[in-house]
Amino acid sequence: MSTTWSLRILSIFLLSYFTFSNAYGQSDTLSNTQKYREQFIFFGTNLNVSSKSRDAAFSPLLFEGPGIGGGGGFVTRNEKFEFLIDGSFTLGLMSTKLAGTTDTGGNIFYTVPAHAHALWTINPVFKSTPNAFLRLGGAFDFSGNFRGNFSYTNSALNFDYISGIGPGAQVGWDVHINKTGKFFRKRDRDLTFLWTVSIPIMGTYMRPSYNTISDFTTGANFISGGGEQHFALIGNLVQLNSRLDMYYRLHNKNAFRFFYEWKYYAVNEGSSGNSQGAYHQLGFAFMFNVTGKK
Amino acid sequence: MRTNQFKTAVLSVFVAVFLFGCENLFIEKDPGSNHRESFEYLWKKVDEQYSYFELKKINWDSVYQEYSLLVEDDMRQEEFFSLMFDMLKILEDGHVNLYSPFSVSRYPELAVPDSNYSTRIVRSTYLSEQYLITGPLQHDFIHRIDDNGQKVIDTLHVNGNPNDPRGIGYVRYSSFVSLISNYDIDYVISRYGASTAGLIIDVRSNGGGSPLNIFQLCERFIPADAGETILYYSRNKVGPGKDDFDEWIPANISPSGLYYPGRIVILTDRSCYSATSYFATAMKAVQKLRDVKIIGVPTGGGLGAPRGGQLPNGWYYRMSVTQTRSVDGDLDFELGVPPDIYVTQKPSDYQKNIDTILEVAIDEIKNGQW
Repeated sequence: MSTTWSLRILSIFLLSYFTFSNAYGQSDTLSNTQKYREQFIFFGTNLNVSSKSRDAAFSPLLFEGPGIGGGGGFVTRNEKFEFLIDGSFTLGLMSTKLAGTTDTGGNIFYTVPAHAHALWTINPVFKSTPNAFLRLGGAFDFSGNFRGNFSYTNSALNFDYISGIGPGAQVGWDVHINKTGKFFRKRDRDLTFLWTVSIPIMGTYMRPSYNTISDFTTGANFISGGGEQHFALIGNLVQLNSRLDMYYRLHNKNAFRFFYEWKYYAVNEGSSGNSQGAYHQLGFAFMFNVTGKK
Repeated sequence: MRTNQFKTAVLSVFVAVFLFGCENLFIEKDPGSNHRESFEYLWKKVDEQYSYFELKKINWDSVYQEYSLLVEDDMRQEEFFSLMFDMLKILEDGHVNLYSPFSVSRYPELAVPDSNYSTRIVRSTYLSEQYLITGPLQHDFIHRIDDNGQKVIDTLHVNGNPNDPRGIGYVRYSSFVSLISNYDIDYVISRYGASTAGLIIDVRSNGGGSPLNIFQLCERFIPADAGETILYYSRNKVGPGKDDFDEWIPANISPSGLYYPGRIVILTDRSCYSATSYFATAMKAVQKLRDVKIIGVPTGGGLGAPRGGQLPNGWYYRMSVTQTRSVDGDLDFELGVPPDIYVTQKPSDYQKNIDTILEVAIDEIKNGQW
C-alpha cells in the first residue's frame, strides 16, 4: 500500500473529524452534561500501511514496507484527567527501491512500541468550545525495532531499543449525536475524538556496537550485536508520536476504538551509525468497560 | 465564533504537519546508486572496519589511488563487479565477499579445492562399511587391509603389552555448521575412550561454521582438574582507526562431559577455514594440558569474524571486523594455523588409495614422541 493511498484514508479520517466536530459541536456532550469517569481495557489489531527504516550501520538505503500486528492497553479518563498505557507489535517486510533488481535481500521487521501518558485538562484553552478540551502532561514512549536481513550474514539481526519521557498533549472532543431515526442514527451516539502528541526530550537507546556483531567467537550470545545502553537528549535521540483516536461507544458501555498513529524515531549518535525510521499505523480495537461502580 | 474558526485552522495545520508523513522532512533520499558512489562507499567501509590491514601489510590508501582511476559510471555492472572483485582480493581473506545478484567475489586461493583430503580414500581404505554417523560426526576404528585382503581393526599394544591391544579412533567432522550435541560427542568418547590409544579428528576441508562447536569439543579434551581454560583471545574493531580495537576477550571453557584420555591428533589442510581455524587455534591451547598434535597443512585462516552490509547500489558485502590470537599471542594464525607436523598428500599415495596425512597420524599415535 502506497503512502499516497494511506494519506487519502487519513484525509477522510480527518475530514470526518472536523465535520463531526462542526456539525455536532453544540450538542450535549459527555463532558458538559455530567461528570463522568470511565475505564477501558482494549485489545485489537493494527495495520502498518507504511514502515520505514534506514540503519546506517548496515546500509545507506531506505527500507520500506507494510506490516500487521496487534496490541492492547488500558485507559482511565474523566473530565479532568486521562491515563493511558498501551503496547503493540507489528511484523512485516521491508525492502529497498532496488529490490528485485540489484538488491536481492530484504528486511523482516518486528516492531514493539509502547506508550503511556498522564494528561490533565487545561480548561481555559477551549472554554468557548464546550465540547472540546486540551490536556497536557507527561508521556513515556518506547520502541523496540528489530530487523533481520540475512544478507548481512553475522550481523543479520539488528535493532534499536529506544525509550524516552517528555511532554504530552491532547486535543479532544466528546460528541453526542442525537438520534433521528435514520440509518446509523436510530439511537443516540457518543463519540470521542482525540489527537495526542508526545515528544520525549530525554531517554535511552541501545544500538549495535561499532562492528555490529556480538562476541560470538568467544561464546557470547550470537544475537546481542554487542549493544549497550546509552542516555541521550532530544536531538541525538528523537521520537515523535502522534495518534488520532476515535472512540465509538456502544449502549452496553463498551466501545470500539479506531485509531491512526504516526511515529518517527531517530538515533543520531553512536559508533555504529545513525538509525531512523517511521511508521503509519491504522488500528481497530474492542474496548471493554471496566469502570465498575460510579 | 471567529475564535473557534481560528482554533480549528491552527489545529488543522498541526494535524497536517504531524500526521501526513512528515517523516520525509527528516529522512533523506537514498544516495545515488552509480558505480562511483558504490566504490567510494565500499572502499571507505573497508578502510574503517577491516581488521587485518597491519598484519597483512596492506596500504589501503594506495588501493584507492589505483582503483579510483579505473571506476567509470558507464561500466557494465559485470565490469564493475570484476573490478571490485580484484580490489577486495587484495585483502587475501576468505571472509571478504561481495554479493551481487549475478555473482559472489571471493579469495581465489581458498576457492580452489584442497587436494589433501579424499572422502573416497578414507572410507574405502580406513573405515568399515558400517562406520557410524552420530549427528554430524562420522566415526569408526581405523582399519587396515590384512594379508587376506580383509579389513580389520588396526591395533597397537600400549607399552608393548600384548594383553592390552588398543585401536585408534577416527572421527570425521566435515562442517562446523552442523551443531554437535552433548549426546553426539559423549557417545563418540564413550565408544573410543577405553578401547583406543588415540583419536584422530579429521577436520580437513571443513570450511567453518559455528564456534559453539569448538567449545563443545574442547570441553571434553581438557583434563577434569584443568579448571577454567582460555582457548584463545579475540577483540573487536571499535572505531575507524587502524588500531581502534577493544580489549582482548578470552574464550573460556571448563571441563564438561566425558573426558577422552588418549592421544589426540587433529588433521588440517588449507581448506580449514574460519571456525575450523579457531578450533585449531584452541587445540594449541589444549596442547599445553595434554597430548595433542596437529598434523597436515596450515589452515586457511579466517580468524576475523565477518560482519555484513549493503552498498548504495543494493549489493551486499562482508568483511572481517575482529582479530583473534592464540594464547601465546600469535596474531599471524589469521594467515593459517601451523601444524605441528607438516605433511601433504603425495600424488603417488593417492594412486594407491593411501591417505598420506592419515598414515602419518596413525604412525604418530603408534610410535610418535609425546
